[in-house]
Amino acid sequence: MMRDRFKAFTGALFIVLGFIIIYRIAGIAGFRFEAVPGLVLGAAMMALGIYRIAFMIRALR
Amino acid sequence: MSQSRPHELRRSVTPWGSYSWGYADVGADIFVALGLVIGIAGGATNVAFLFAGLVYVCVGLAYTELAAAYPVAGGGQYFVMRGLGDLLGFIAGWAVLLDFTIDITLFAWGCVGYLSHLPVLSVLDATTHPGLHFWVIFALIAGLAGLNVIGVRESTAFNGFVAALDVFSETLILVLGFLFTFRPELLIHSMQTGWPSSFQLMNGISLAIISFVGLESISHAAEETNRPASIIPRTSIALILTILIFALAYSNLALGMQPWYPTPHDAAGHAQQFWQFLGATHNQDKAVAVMSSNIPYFGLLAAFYVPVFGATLLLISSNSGVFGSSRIAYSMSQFQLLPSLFRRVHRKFKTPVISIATFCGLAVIELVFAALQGSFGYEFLGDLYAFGAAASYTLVFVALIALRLNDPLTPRKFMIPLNIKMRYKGETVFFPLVAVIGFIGIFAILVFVLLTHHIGRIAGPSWLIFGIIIYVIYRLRKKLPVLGSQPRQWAHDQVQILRKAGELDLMDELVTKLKARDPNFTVRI
Repeated sequence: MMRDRFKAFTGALFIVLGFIIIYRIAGIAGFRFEAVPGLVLGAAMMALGIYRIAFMIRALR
Repeated sequence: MSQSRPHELRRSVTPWGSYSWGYADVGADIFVALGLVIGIAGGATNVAFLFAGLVYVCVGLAYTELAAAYPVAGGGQYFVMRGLGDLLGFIAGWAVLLDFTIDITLFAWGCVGYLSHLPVLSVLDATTHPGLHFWVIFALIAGLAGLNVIGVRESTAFNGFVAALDVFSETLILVLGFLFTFRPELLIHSMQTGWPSSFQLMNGISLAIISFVGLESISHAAEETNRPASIIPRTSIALILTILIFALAYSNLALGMQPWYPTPHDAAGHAQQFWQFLGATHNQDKAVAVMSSNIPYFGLLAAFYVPVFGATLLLISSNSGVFGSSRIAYSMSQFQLLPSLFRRVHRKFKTPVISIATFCGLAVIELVFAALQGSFGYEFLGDLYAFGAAASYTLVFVALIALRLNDPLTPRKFMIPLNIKMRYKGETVFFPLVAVIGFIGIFAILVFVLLTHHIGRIAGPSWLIFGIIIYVIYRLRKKLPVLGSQPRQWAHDQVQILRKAGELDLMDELVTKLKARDPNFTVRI
């Protein structure tokens, strides 16, 4: 139970952090070339967060 | 992790154990790679890590599929041998051995570098006291060799603790760094004003792959994991994403960081940006420590914590090189790719003492050559590391394709996505497009290494040629095929591998398919 809550927390944290990074970088640089590595970073963080939460939900079922 | 007999490893690694084993090998890489890449690629550091990172994702997926389908500790050498034959299997293993020996030296060098960031240990700095720096690294390598001969290894529990602490620490540095120091406008400015030449960019990309070396540990863990076909994919995907995120995050933060302390002027007295300070020769081997000590308030703690922690992590990774090289050599000698003396164990300690002594000895030779490069010694080691990784991973992609085509019956619980279904030699096979993309990427990086590393382009191929000479002499002496492969019963071997791995459902599936292909097939116990 604690482990599942920890996974949910870290998963949510990654999703929020990823979104913040995308929001801040896109806000300044838009979607031009210099923003690409940062946007990929944000997307990867959100993907990891979604993966952790999806895995936890599947394990609970 | 137990120092058990390699031919009968105990399957006791849990999912967290598998993840932390892999992370202990790969997690330290950013501590080494960041300074090297920033020093070369400058304002395109994050682009270099992005390119290498996307190739790494393909490499990681390839290793995940192969380790889950063939859970044997030989790693890339085994996959390539099985898919492409003995000679290419030897070359892949020999290239990985180069990486493991460089791993010993490079990470020991990095360990001393991070310790030198502590005020009381500043005498260890390579630029100010090169002689003392050399002997301390030599002592570390000798000490690790001794510990491995005796059989002392960090336990799986200790690895797990270090991995957890590292994930927590690196995440904390990044979260605080992004919250309190990151300026997106500074990131854009750094990229626009510090954009390198094409040569430097290629050089930077070829060094960025260092951040992702160590994936062989996924396959090493597979032989000691129960139900690896289920566990390995789960832990590997998390590991791949974690490492990718850390590499991209550190590189973007480094370029967009507004440091807490004023950035010192460069050697010529000119003002410089923070990323230029990080990439300076005297900071290359401790870049993460310098970054973290420039985070407001946290930097006061990080100035002591990160060097100590980073040095510990790098020492563990250096030790992984000692252990890993002996394990690869053992596996290669089992398949008669290397002489059997690499399988000999110490009478009292039951450890592969000849392997350990040989590869630690090579690590010392590499240290001597690196020290002779003066302030470019760290880059010299990075050059060789990049060559070994690129050469080995190139062959692994080809092996993956070959095994998909020639061994379609082996159950693959995890298969890389994006496949083309086709018929090949009367069987339905799935041609992996991701392997082609990965091959193009890693081959490009290999070309970048050969084009931009003036030492790596000579030393790397020389290592391979030296190894091939040993292989030819050994195989001729044993009256074994030199260009061809020994006949092996791969189908029977695979049944036994799956049985020992506890993958009984997959074993039954394989046996059913084998009997459908050949009704006379019988399982040997």
